[in-house]
Amino acid sequence: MAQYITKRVLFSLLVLFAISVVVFTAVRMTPGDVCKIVLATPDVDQQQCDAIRNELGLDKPAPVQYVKYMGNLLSGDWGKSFFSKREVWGEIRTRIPLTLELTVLSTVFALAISIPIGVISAVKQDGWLDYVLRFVTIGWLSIPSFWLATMLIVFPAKWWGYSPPIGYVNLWDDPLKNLEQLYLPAFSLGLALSASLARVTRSSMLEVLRQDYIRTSRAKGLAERAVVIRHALRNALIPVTTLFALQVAVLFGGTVVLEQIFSLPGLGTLTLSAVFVRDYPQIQGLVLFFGAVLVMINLVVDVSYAWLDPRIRYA
Amino acid sequence: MTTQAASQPMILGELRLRRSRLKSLWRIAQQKPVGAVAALVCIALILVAVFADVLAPYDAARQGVPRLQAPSASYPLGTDNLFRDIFSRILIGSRISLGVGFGSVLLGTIFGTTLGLVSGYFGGWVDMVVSRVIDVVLGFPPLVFAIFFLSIFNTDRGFSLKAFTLVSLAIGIIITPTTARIVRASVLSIRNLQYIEAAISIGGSSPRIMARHVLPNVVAPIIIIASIQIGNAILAEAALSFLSLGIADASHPSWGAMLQDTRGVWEQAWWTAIVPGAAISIAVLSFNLFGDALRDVLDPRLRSTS
Amino acid sequence: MEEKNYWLRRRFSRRTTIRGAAIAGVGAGAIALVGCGDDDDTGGGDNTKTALLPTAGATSVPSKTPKAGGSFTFQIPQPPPTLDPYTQTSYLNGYMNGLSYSKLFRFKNGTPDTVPADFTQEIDLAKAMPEQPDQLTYIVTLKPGIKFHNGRAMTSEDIRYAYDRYLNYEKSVHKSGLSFMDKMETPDAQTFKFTTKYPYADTVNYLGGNLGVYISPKEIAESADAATKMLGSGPFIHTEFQTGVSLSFKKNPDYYDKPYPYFDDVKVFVVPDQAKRVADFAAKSVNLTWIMLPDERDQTKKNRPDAKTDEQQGIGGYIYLRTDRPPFNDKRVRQAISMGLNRKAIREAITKGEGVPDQLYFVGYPFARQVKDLPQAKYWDYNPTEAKALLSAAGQTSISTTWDHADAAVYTQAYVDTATLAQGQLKDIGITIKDQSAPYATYISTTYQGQYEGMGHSPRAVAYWLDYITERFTMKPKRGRINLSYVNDPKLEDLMDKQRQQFKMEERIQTVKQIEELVAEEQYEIYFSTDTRSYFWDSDIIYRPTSWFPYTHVMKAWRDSA
Repeated sequence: MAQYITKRVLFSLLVLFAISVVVFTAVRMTPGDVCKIVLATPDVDQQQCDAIRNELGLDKPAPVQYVKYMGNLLSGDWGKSFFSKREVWGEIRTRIPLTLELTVLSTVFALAISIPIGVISAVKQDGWLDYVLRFVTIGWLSIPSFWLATMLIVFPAKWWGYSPPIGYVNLWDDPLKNLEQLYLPAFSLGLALSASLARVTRSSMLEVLRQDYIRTSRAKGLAERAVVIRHALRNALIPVTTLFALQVAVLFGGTVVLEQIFSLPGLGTLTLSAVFVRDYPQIQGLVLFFGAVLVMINLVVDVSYAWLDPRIRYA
Repeated sequence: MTTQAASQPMILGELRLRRSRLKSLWRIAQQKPVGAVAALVCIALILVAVFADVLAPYDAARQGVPRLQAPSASYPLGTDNLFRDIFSRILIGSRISLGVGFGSVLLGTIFGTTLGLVSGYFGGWVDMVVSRVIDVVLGFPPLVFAIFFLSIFNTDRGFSLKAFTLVSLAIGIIITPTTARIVRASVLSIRNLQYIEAAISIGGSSPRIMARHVLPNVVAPIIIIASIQIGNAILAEAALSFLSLGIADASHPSWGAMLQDTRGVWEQAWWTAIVPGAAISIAVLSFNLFGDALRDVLDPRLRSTS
Repeated sequence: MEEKNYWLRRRFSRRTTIRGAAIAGVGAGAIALVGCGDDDDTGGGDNTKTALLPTAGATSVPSKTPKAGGSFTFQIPQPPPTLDPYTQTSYLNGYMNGLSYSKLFRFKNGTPDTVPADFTQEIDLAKAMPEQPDQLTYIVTLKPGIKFHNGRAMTSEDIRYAYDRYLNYEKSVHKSGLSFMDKMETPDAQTFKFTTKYPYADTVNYLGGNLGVYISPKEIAESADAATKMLGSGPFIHTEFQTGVSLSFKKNPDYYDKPYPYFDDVKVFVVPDQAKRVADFAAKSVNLTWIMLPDERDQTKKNRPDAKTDEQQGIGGYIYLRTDRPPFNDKRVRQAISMGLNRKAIREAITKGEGVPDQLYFVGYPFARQVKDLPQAKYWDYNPTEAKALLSAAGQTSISTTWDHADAAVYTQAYVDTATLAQGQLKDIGITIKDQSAPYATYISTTYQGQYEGMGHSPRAVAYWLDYITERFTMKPKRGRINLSYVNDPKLEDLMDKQRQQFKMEERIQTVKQIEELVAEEQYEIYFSTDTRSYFWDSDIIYRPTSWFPYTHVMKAWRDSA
């Protein structure tokens, strides 16, 4: 097992290295001369451009830039934004709590509705309730989140003069206001996730309910409720957890749209604005950060699989 | 005369075969009425996209109808804020929305199948390399990947074939890992079966064996996952349009772009929000339901994997 | 009562009305045109009168003594790209810089009882308007007791430092704009003396104008925080820049221009989504908002019947084209394009028919004429027949060209919609256009630098100094900032040279009128109508929206309930 984990960790580092090379090369291929974007004025002359490129370190060959960048990164220096001159890592760090909270809230929301729906659907398999629930959840899956989010902004304001409070506050500073700012985007984000989770819960429950030990516990005379919740659900949740791990990436992507619509200063809006102005260091930092988080999650999933199922280790 | 006689039984046989296929299709449709309806809707949508220019009463860019008219007999889906007929634009918009949906799934399926096939079949270091490549893709949040990819490579302005291909490619790459994993798992499950071993032992070349013996046996999961991914791809295109990274322009609308373009008037003209939104939802819903039904029919084992 | 007089005056003196829309320094801040305010206007004809006049009693004019205290919040659509005035001239920078920094001179408007369209300069840091012993020399004396927010007293050396940096810092964006400056001297701590390289009639206007040559001291200008912090001498002290969320300011108790400012705190929220901005004001989350689209304005009126509102002329876009090569080197083609545009239909689609039908670029001045009063007025009429005739006279019956513009995320959906509508209309006169929408970074580094093939389309910018026309149309290096149409017209060049040296206003106006007619005849740039911009604010705030840049509208506003 230790050997397997070591191997996986090394692979993960390799993958991160590959991601860093890919993004470093890619941002330098983007169209649009950075100095003109930085100055954003129509009469850019060569002298100004040279000064800017020199200051940003763009006058050196890309491999040299890369080595320098990675060297700094390893010593904890993520570089500075081309525009705001803020520390790239500082920008990312201040935005993590919001995106994390949004992700967690939408997950909580998704679980809160998807697990009961999945269980009921499985217990009442092929009954009318099953059909209705399945249809409804699949319907959720097919609503574009930006459409839903815009509706949630436009119409409450029109009908009740209501809009979530402006100016993001930290959860610890003002929990109530913070939650009021986040529940609508979390709902929009969680809805699609709940649909896929409900579907997996249902099929996984169906499988578990057919198992021998469930029959045994029914035969023992346990109440159906206890059978379903205490015995079946617990085992049925393993695939749900796996799916969720895979969905974290999708959630991160979804926050881009929702943070933009609800004017929330998270990693998503940071990503958009960095791409908007071609802020290389910020883009690189964000990609590496997302990459590290996702690679880590994949690592944990793989290792826990291997732990659960020893055959994988030797495959 | 002889050739005709010789071919006669074959034709009859084929007809019989077709009839029995139709019959079995009908049986399936009876078992899965929802899936059957969804399949019909999907076919209808595809036909609409193919014949959009014939079906649409107006050119997508034509400005000449009254502004912001609610749906009526003359404008079945209303008109938008730029004097255009929404019905025509929805029909023509299906081309980009469904086109990107199919295009990206096609690309994603080709990549995913190739990678899954190769890594499952060869195993060892090939499997290792392919898995790491896939890990790199999985290191990006899907939408973020598409944003980066398009802002870097899509230098075209407005609609073009290149832009269309690039959007399809961006979404195609996003869905590649899922397909690759499923194909790889399926390949692994048959890799050690006797007939594959036999093919190898009589000296068949690897590409030939993969194409002739392995691929046909993993087609079912590929079709299933592809049909489900179309819905996701349509949604992804809409999200990219919202973020101004889409490829639609005045003469080449997409459903997502139609929503984004009219966000300012939703409040006073509900149909500008509901109609393209419903088009997206109906398409996504139909492809999902169709994919579900297909999965139940073709491979019940896959139920839990997606 | 005064308000009524104001409007009467406006209506009867239309020709002396300053108007024009500005996005001076369309920089990264142009990202956020959405939010810019502008001077108001009486409209292009009698038909627009009702549309443009604010509803009765919308703006109250104070008869009471202003009260100090209270807080004030408003939204901006994007965070300013940087707070360093040396490296950006975007409107967002100007807005935020204006709260904390000062200039030698400033716009006069901004108090609730000043005509918003009054763009004359008044003193700011300067004790009096400059002494001018000759046409090349200016002597400015500073007000006594001016302190930076860190407590240090400002001297004329700070003024010299700032202008020197604007001229010589390699990343400065004012190098060509300030290139008229020659020698600078500081005879004593309160006196700043400078000469210009040539007689330049717009010297004061540039130094006090909307592009913002703010006096930012060495302490901040050369520090690592220049982009994120401000240390000026202005009415508000910058306290916090919460990235992506808000900028906070508090009152500067030592402000040299008493009794300003009135508010204790000012908070500026960054709200990128237009729907959310409208919703925020509906939910009373901010004290002030501005709205571009009449649809959203009408909704806001329903949402907040209690709010005060005022309407101002907004901005319009314009088409620039490659006048240096066929087919657009033929003025008949350009005239045909202008006549092929159905501006009325565009206004109906985008601004409910509101807005000023047509304006020349530099009409925003007291001397300016309405398009309908120009001898070339017919080119603004929608006349496809005549347009086609002009095209065939030019031997160009079917033109295939491109139209470059930024996407809706950069400017607004209305701007993109205008392009869509115009392209559809031009198709009817035989001009087939490939729509080329580009994201911000591509647009700003290509189209905006003049790299485009056929036609381009940007929001218009009118600066508050007459010589801005020179920047539009000159091919002389280091004089032009943005000659996107590749205009190379010796006659026009001569006229531009002439007016920039004419210190007597009446003479200068005569020259500018000639320029006006020449540009109207040539259609070097083809103008769309402008839109209206509606400001809404809480009823207990005494406030007068002004043009975009004078920060004074925040400094001079006050809260009645405070």
